Amino acid sequence: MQLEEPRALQVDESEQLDESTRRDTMTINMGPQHPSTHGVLRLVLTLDGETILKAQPDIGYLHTGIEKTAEGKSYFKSLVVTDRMDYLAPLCNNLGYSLAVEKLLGIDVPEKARFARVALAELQRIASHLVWLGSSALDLGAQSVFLYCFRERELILDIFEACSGVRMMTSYIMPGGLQADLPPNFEQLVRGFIKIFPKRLREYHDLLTNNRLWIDRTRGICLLPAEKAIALGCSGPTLRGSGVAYDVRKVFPYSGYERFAFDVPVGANGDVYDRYLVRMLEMRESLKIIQQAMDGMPEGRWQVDDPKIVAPHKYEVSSNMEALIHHFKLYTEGYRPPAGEVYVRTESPKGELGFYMVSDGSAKPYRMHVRAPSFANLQALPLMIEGYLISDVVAAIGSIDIVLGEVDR
Amino acid sequence: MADEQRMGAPELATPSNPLAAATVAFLRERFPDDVLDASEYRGEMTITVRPERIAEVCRALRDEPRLAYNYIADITAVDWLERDPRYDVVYHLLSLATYGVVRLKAQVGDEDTPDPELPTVTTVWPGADWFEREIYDLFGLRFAGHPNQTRILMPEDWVGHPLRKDYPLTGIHLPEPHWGGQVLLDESLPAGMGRQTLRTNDRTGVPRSDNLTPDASEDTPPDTHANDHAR
Repeated sequence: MQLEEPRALQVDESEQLDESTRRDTMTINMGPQHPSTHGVLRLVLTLDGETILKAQPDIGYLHTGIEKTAEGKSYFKSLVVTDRMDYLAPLCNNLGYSLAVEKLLGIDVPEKARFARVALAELQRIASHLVWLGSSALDLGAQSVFLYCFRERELILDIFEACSGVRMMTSYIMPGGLQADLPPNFEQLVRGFIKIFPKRLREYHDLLTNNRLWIDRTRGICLLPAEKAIALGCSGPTLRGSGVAYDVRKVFPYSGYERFAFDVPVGANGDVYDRYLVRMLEMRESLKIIQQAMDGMPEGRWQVDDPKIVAPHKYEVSSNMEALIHHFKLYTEGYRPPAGEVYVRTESPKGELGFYMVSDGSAKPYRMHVRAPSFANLQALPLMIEGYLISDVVAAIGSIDIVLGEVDR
Repeated sequence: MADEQRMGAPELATPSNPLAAATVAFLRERFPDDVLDASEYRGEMTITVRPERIAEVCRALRDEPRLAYNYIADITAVDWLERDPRYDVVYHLLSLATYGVVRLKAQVGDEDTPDPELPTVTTVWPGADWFEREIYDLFGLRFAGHPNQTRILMPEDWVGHPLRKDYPLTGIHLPEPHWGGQVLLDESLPAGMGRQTLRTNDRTGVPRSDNLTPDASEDTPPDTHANDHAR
């Protein structure tokens, strides 16, 4: 018996896809409930296989009308609404809002309040960056980083709790200074954190910075060229990762930042890895600032000495007629800044946080507009991810560190 | 009082910010007829220009090498309900080369144009895109030439523009929505606000813009409990 000559197997031509079918694209929704979108961001992705051809962010799911709400409240009542915008950095929002109201009023806060505000804002920056680091590493599969980051964040939240009694939505920084004096154990808590944190920071670097898997997932991915980042209005680490050294704390110093020595880390390539490194190095610089703020913290009042702007002490209210009147006037009516408009920019952990306040001379802001850094940064997302794979979208969202509460306001 | 002072000072003697002063001088020379006012308050320079020329002014400010306002920090609007023109559109410009800052203002809207339009500046800074969409969404101002003039924060079928001063601060009180059906409201809304669609059982995922004026057959919500009695 003679065997047949073996021949190569072949798929019949009728069963192969023709060119037109192969070019078909698919449109999928990523979010609003996707865990890596850090909130409720919906991305409408047009895909060719796994490659992203087009991305359209859809926002607004967390719109709570904060700007409209503020128009109906007196100035110090709106303060608590600002906590809820960037809920990972409430104190930085408080600071921006307070500076804007103080500029409208034309007042200046005492030295102690300035130093305390800087220390608290930088602690808040570290806390915010720790959430970013933990969650973006978790998104890319590094689970243990998340646990370590939240361990250190707890230390910072403990400090906030000692100050204000609240861990997150503190409203501790307010127009006119601080809500209350710093607690007696403030210095001890902060110094303890300063002592512990550098070692922990080295641990994070050890876990990720030279980790081959981390580098493979982040380096050269989702590029944002400097000129594009500027044109799109990006700010904060997202802009600095692309090599533009714009930091509001350096360029338009507020609350006494000009007296602190710190560096502004700047990336070179504008990829996910650079944005990661910028934030990692920023935590070290923030620690330097906190150290200097603690060393230079003066004694004295923590609020302006003006009962028309900050409420008199409870003891005064029950013993002094005038204090009672001030207390009553302040909580029923509030204060009336002269008519005018100001725009105050601060460097929040996410970027340039701007408050545009318009006063018509009444006790309520005529208009409060928030220039949210995440809102502007998110505009750059389609540019970053087009041409990359779905799995890179997760890395890109993590690298711009958006908070949807602030995007939607 | 302070407001009067600001309004009444078109020629400023000594602006505290030299770059802002240079900006005013540049604009007065380049656009002599279009700069309406320049004033300073708390060290911040505000230049009011003619709304129809805003894009040209912005482009000139970006391209002038001495000023180089290459960064749009913020665009927003303010509704001065009683005033004519009604709206301020406010641009916060920043230069990442010189670190100069300036605020531009364009005033639009009057009784004849309830939904005014002004040129887009997305052609100057692409980052203006979402800021202008936000203004369109919340104020109802339109931007001619905008690549994607749609709502950004509110649902696409929302009626009205919430940040207008004649939009009620507490929102519009709506009756309990009828789950699973379409609820059309035309009585509880203030005059001029039109109808509001709350929820739909339309699962196609495509928000419909035409359901604001539905035909009569859709006016009665489907009775989802009709079968319960039969059982």
